[in-house]
Amino acid sequence: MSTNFFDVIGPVMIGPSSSHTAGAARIGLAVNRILKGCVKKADITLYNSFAETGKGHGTDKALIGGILGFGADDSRLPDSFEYAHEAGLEFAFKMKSNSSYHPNTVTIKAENEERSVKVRASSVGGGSIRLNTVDQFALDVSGDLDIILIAHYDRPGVLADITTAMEEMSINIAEMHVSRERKGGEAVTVLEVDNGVTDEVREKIMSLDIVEDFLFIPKIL
Amino acid sequence: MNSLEYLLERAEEQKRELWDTILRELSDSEEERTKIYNETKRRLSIMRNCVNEGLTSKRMSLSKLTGDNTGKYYGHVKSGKSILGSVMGKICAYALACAEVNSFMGVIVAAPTAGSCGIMPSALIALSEEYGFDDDMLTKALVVSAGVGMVIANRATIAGAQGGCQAECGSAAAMSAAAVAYLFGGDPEACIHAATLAVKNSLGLTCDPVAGLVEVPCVKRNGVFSVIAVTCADMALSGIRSVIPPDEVIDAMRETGEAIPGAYRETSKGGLAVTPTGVRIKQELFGNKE
Repeated sequence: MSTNFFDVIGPVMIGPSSSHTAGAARIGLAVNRILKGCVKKADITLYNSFAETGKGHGTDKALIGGILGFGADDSRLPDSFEYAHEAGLEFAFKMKSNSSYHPNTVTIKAENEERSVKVRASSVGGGSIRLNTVDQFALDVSGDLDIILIAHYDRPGVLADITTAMEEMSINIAEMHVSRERKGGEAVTVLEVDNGVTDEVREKIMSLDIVEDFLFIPKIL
Repeated sequence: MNSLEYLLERAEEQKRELWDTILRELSDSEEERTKIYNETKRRLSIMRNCVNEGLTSKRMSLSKLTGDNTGKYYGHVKSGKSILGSVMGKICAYALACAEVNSFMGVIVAAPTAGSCGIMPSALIALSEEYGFDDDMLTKALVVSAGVGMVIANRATIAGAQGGCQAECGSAAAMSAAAVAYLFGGDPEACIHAATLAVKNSLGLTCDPVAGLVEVPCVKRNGVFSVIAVTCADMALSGIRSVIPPDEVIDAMRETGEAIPGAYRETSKGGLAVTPTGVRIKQELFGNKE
């Protein structure tokens, strides 16, 4: 494993815990990004270590701060509940345990006036996170790069169509993962990409016959 | 970057200061190196703000277990009663300050982790005030400390969940020792051996936080290890060298970390966390869920 220079004099963050506070804020921020802000409602379930010691680490405040769009180093995080009240964000927390999940796992069902999303994510140490699922899609990505989720039908040639479209848009693919429910059924392609996903990219992908849905998650800084 | 001995050889070959060698290992591009340098300098200013906030704030941690240690100890130092004296006492007070800012959800720079965030910045900031080191000198010292931290992260670990507290406070002390040795004119060998002495003297340190919080024993341990780090730098500056070579010591840290039982690696299932008082504190804070 190779460590980055600024991983050892960083991250710059709100304390007290990189996993329970900074990671939690970044998970909240992922939800904010998916919904493109203005989140009005969030039902949050904390699992395992998040549930047991989250309160003492401000995990709840960090998650709400992230959902409001605050980063892991934003000094508004400790007062995020008040900011949520001002912004009209209603939220509720539940505590559960599930031994098949990572020790620091959370599920968030959130909505704004446009859409809703259900995310399961884990905070895996040092402020790094993994997005486990988004709606019905299993992904397991870090959020360090821009993410594109494409729901489509499992047909021969669909990946070629997608990658060709990416090439035409000059988008460089760093990682790619495909999973399907069953042969010929619904499938999802997860792409981690380096640069600029625009509305044009979305339109191009959505114009492919085989594609059902497109979701873009900008990288979480 | 996974060898202290390699860094030392490179610096001696190139006849460069250690910070310069480390930056050159990170990038061949002058532009990129300047970017890293400037971002390092920015983080130095966040560290300084963190110390100042800790010294002036009266906030308590979320659990209320900690928050008033900085005030007590800094007052003691300022009154002239500190056995450590004004300089070392100040370093210890600043380390407590950063650790308490962390515990009450203030802005900190993890160095290398949030739980150990006071150990290295305290020495840099306090010594700059006492000896007049400018921000460029401190930035170079920070680069030295980060180089050491990267080697430990790559060769052993800086995560308490993997290697116990030696990985967090031990690594932070190593980073600080190297930085302080640099500030006081230590050559690359003195810096590397300062770091090595700090790692040697934290081997086996367990991570057993009460109620799983980054408070007990973490806050006071920041104070204690800030002083240990400077002691290691001082010894290295006198010409003392580690008998066991630097990389072998880091390897011993990895091996020791792997051997530490899980109960003492941030799980709060052993040590201080399961003392009668530790258990009672957890129950009072979070109820009896288990």
